[in-house]
Amino acid sequence: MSNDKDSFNVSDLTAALKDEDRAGLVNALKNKLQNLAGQRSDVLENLTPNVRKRVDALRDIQSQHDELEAKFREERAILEAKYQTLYQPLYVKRYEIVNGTTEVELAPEDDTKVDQGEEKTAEEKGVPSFWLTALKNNDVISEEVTERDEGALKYLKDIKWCKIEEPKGFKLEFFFDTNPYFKNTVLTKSYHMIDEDEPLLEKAMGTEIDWYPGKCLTQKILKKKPKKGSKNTKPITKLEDCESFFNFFSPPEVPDEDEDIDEERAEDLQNLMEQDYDIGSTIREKIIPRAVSWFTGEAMEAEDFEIDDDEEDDIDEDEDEEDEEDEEDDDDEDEEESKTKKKPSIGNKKGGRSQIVGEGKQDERPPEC
Amino acid sequence: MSNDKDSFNVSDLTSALKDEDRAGLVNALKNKLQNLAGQHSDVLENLTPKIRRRVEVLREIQGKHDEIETKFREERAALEAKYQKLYQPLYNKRYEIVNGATEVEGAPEDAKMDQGDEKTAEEKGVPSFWLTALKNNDVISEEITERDEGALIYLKDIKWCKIEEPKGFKLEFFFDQNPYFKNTLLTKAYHMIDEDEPLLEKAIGTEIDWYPGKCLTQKILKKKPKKGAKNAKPITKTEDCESFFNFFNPPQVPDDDEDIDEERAEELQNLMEQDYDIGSTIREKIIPHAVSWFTGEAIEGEEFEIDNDDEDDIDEDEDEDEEDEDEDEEEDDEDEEEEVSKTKKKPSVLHKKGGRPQVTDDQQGERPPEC
Repeated sequence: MSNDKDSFNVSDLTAALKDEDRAGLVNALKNKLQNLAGQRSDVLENLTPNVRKRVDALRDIQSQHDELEAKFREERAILEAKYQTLYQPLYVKRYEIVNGTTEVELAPEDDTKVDQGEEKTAEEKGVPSFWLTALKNNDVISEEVTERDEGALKYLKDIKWCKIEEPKGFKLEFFFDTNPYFKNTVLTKSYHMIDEDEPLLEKAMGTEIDWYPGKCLTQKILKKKPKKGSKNTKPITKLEDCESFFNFFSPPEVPDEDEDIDEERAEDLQNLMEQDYDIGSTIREKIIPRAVSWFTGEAMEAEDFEIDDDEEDDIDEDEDEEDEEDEEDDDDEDEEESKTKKKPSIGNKKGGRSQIVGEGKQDERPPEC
Repeated sequence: MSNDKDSFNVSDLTSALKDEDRAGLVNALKNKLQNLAGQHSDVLENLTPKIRRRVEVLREIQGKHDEIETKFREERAALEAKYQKLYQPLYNKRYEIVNGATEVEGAPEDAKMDQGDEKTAEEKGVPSFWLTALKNNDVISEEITERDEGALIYLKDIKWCKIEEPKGFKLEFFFDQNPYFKNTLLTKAYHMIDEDEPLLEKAIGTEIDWYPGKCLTQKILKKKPKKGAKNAKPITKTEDCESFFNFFNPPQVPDDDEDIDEERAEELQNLMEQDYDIGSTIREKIIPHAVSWFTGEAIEGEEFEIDNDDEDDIDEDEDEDEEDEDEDEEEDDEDEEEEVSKTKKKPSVLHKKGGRPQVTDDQQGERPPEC
């Protein structure tokens, strides 16, 4: 091939970078990579004429396959959309019952307790703490929810997801009642994907939360006593980032193009983004479709069976439960069980995350609130 | 709840383990876990009657949702099967052309008739088609050694199919008769726990029937005897080594009665995930787009994604260092990629391979030594 093709034109790239034209950068990179791919196609140039003719025939067949595949993807997308449409009325009914917009019919056995029921009904509308409870019963999500978060998550009244077409991806929407923590009534999280079929994330974006003064759950206020003998006797206050479910709405971001990033940092960042995506896809694929089963704990049955096969996960659970005194009984039970289970869970996502969770928390996570 | 429910009955589990009755073990575990789940269901017991009634209605709604979801899965499976069926004639045509069972239309150019005829006699179909396709994929090429290539030249087709009981899929590798092993078909089956998630229960591969001295997963070491030793003959020893064909001998979950420590369990899990990644790459990428991988066109899309990750660039460089430096063309490629990588700083987000470098470190600890 000619040398012109081989050379990488730095000025092209420089111009693209200066313009901060991402599309331009993508095109420049793609053009260069096509040339590189062209070199790999030396396979074709080294073939005899007959073999080459056969390869051309094979390429025709491949094109036919790719056309069929495109139709398959269209049909699958239509099928998925059809069923999402069928789910919607059920999600609406769920919302109405959870939030007390619609009352259910009374069953006969409730008659004898009508007085007590009516008294409490005045206080409790719908199903209180429905979404908070559902989230806490999922191991992946419960690791993110702190005790301080629970006060705010009580006001969570619905979670929805929808597809995004341009760019490809999906969005999660968290609907909150008016509450004393933040002004937003909807918090959203979007994931922009590179590829339809694989979880290759390009970027994630979250709503900026409009906290009321002194109510920010992703930061905590530290007060330090001044040193003895110091002229200033007022305590020094300082804000420090801390763990919170609401950090979910400030996802890790890919650095700007002109910022250099070293290998280790890149790897840490990638792990954090994978972890963030795992949370988002858990909410989309498990919590939203089966919120009631998570609320009642029924969904944990199958999950527990899968997760408890992994000793690593048992340890994670123990760590969580040590924070809660009421769970001491469960704690003992889990420890007893873990002694009798020796097989690692194969391919369990959470099992694969333990390494990441452990390292990430130590190095990257804000300190415990 | 009563203490009887809370207690974990070890004798139940012990008898299940001794019987090596996996189903029994599964049932025993499920029963105990249902009791535990029951404790989590204290939520229901603490509700007022009206709220409880609402939750019951919610559960009915959930039941309807789950029914609809079941239909969705059925329809989706039917759709997937429909298209797999449509792909089959194309895969058959591909097989026939690759293996010379069918000749393509268009006579060879007259001017090169003699040369063409001569080479056609030597070369049937498209030689090294599958070997080349596999080598052009980064995930797979890491598994293929130079010694493997001699055997993989005889690979004439790769197929996959679904397995229903237990749920999973199987890969089939069809080989011509060859001087390495007697099998004409090597298979790899993955048994999954769940339909929708890649939760692997176990993987099983064909036992390869190597001809004497041809085993590619082992190498023969000869040691000279110590000076002065009575025995003057060299000592021979076989040692495991890296090979694509280790793919057919996947990591196994240990027997129930064998204890395994935490670190070992984690390493095993990483190996199994890595093995599954290879299998799913073959199933989802190589088989459907074999021609694009053979010609290198498929690398275009992959390259763009991979080269966004500095980590992967380094992996590639490591691979290329092992190749003969005499190849000028490769040197140009290497220089070009180094130049390119200097201008790309963004890490690839969620790229599977990017997530593997940590696992690759395990290769140092766990992998057989280089052949």
